[in-house]
Amino acid sequence: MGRKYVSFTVGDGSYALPLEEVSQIARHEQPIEVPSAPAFVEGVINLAGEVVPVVHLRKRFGLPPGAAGRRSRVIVTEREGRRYALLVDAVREIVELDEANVSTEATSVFGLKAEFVVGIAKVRDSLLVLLDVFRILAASPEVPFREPGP
Amino acid sequence: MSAKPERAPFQLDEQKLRRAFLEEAEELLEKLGQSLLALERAPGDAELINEVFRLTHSLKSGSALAGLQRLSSLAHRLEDVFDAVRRSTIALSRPLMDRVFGASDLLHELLRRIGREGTDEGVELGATLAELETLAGLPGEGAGVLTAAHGPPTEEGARLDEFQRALVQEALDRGESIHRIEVRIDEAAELLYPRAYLVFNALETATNLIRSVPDMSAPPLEDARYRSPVFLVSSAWGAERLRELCSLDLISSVHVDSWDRGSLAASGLLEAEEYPPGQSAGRAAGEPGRAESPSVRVDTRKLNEIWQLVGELVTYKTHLVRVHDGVRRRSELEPVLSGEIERATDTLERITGEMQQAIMQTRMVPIAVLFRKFPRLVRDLTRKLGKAAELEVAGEETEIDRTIVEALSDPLTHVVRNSLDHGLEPPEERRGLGKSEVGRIRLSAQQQGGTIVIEVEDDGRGLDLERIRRKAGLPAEASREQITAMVFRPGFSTKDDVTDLSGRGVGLDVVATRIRDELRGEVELHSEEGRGTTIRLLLPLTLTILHSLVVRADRYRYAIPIRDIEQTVKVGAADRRPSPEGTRYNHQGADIPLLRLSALLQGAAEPPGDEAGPAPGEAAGVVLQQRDRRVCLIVDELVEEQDVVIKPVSDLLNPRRLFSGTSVLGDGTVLFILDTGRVVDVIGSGG
Repeated sequence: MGRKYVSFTVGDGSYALPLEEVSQIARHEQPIEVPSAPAFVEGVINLAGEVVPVVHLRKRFGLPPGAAGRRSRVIVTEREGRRYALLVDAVREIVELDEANVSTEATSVFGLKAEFVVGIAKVRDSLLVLLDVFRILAASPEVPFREPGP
Repeated sequence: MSAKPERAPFQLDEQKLRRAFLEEAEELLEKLGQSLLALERAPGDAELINEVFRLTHSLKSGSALAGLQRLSSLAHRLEDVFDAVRRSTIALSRPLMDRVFGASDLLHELLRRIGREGTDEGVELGATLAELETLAGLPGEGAGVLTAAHGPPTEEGARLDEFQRALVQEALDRGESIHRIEVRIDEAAELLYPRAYLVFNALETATNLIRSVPDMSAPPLEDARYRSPVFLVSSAWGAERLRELCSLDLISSVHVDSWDRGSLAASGLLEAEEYPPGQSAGRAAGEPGRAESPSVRVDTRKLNEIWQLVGELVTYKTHLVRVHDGVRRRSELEPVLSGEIERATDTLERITGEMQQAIMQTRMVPIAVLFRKFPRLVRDLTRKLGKAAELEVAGEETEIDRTIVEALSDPLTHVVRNSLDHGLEPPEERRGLGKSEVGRIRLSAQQQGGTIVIEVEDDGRGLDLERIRRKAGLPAEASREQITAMVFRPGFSTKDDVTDLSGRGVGLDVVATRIRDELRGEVELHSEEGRGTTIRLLLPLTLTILHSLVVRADRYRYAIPIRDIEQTVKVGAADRRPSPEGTRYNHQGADIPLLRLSALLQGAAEPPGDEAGPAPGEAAGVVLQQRDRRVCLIVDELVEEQDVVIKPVSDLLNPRRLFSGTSVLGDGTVLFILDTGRVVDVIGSGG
């Protein structure tokens, strides 16, 4: 039995989150500005009275920010009561992946540190990186996200 | 017992039953603890013995149905013991009570395990089961094996036993009627037992069950025997209502016969070998007897959801009022229309206000739910410590937010334990001092305005102030208050020689910190040497709404809890003084740190007291107070006083932990609530 994932793109890479951790996908609107947040937090949105930070994944990944485009979306993800709204370049599709097709060996891919990569799957000739977003966001912003290039 | 897929409906019921049982079991165990304590004081009380028996019985049958075999077998053994006690085959002795208390602790432990891990494997029961078995004088059975219900298998028509007849008598004395309810389960039901059990469950909750045939509290028999179960219950309800109660899904017919005292005597039910036909359903007039206060169990999550929605409603109501004010000021509305809107918003305001009150009430529980465990705690601790103490409890009916109750349990336990351990002298010492040998501990609660005051008072030795003063290195002229404050200093109290001699202080700093940080409360201590100590916990009524002062710094708004504000002040140039540690402010003769709120929030990049911005002239300042420390925060504007609904703040937005929460205002503004304690610490430490 496969597990369902929501796949999306940030920069040139394709990533995915488990469907059960995604509570909402919305168009990107200008978030409310907040003080004393790290640079990759764009602001907050008000989701039924709850204040949810909007994380600019491009910035968090250390990519050039780029203006939010027509296809930009916000993916609201939730685990153990913590919620984040992730700003991504585009949402692609919902894919079902068999465990057999997911490589869970700790590897660094697209310059991401291995500890943030849950697995890598091959879908129609392209790589899909399964992310542990909660781990990424819990990590100190000072830690360089990308490993030094070759 | 592996279930096949087509048995899914049964599985579903079982899951539901298990959840319902776990909720209920906690309550049953609490009651059991109380009754046992009362029984220990009055060992001959037949009423109490029956009560304990009934509680163990309910625990046994509920857990068996929920598939919790181990829990059930332990409760079963306890039931056996009390069955023997009420039949006077064995006597209540002190060692017996100790075993029973031990077993009830084990029940608690099992329940905790199940709640946490979903299974009660891994708790050792064998020895306790065997012990109880011996006590009850039963032939030894394999430990952990669920045995058949005690007594002969109850057949419909079998005579009521002595206990059941006593139940009938008691019910009649209370003015209730006796009802025989025969239920027929629909042919369409795949399994009969779960259906029968649901009826049993409904009856057991709403009425006093005297017996069921087949015995629903025994382990399930062959399923076919549950086609038409018969229940004998007592209730003040009429037959019609009982019929409704039993008319559940897949129940094809319910037949109710009812008797009151007069008709029952004539019927000879109490003596007869069989239930005689009684007054038939519709004619059982004369009810309803007492006024009922019906209640239902509601998942707290559902309540929280409603609470959230009401919070939003209140917020947007405020927004609407503001918009209207704004429009009216620009007189774009004709007066008649404006009056209409005003009346409408007034009504809306009243309704939302009442709604908020009403929903608030659903969060409130009497503090008795928390106080309940203390008689047992005091009993056990006094024994362990070789002390004698009488616990007096007052104000149990005081209502408090249930989330506060949960968070309060540990700290309050700590305080009571402290009083017993360090406050009260041992009996010999008390005798020598001319005090009564039995110490007194008074646990009380009362509401004073928006605050709940909980007091733990003992008549023990009190604080040894002189000893503490020397230990803390305070000057001889130090005030009582200054010395007392030392016991709340972190680390101070852990010094063994102080705790041994002063007799108090273990962990009081920990208690105070938790009360302050988690519950936004305060802890006070009053002590008289040789006479005793009183510890007072001051708590807010609820944790969800904060009375605060909204201030502005740069473009952002912040809420400061009003209770932490000593004063708002105008800070003129003459009041400030630069110093190596940053700017200082002369507040009524005291020299305290001063910092601009925006500078604080921008972080350590700026040295404290370095005030970027328009300094000349007067600025608005807020003097914050935390214990004995004060700081002055400069803000750009004091906006207004407002009650804000507290929402959790994401770690991502709170890297320096300066906020304790967020709130969204009616116009969509996001507001951050300052964690005053943390702010004072950060400024005080110059970081």
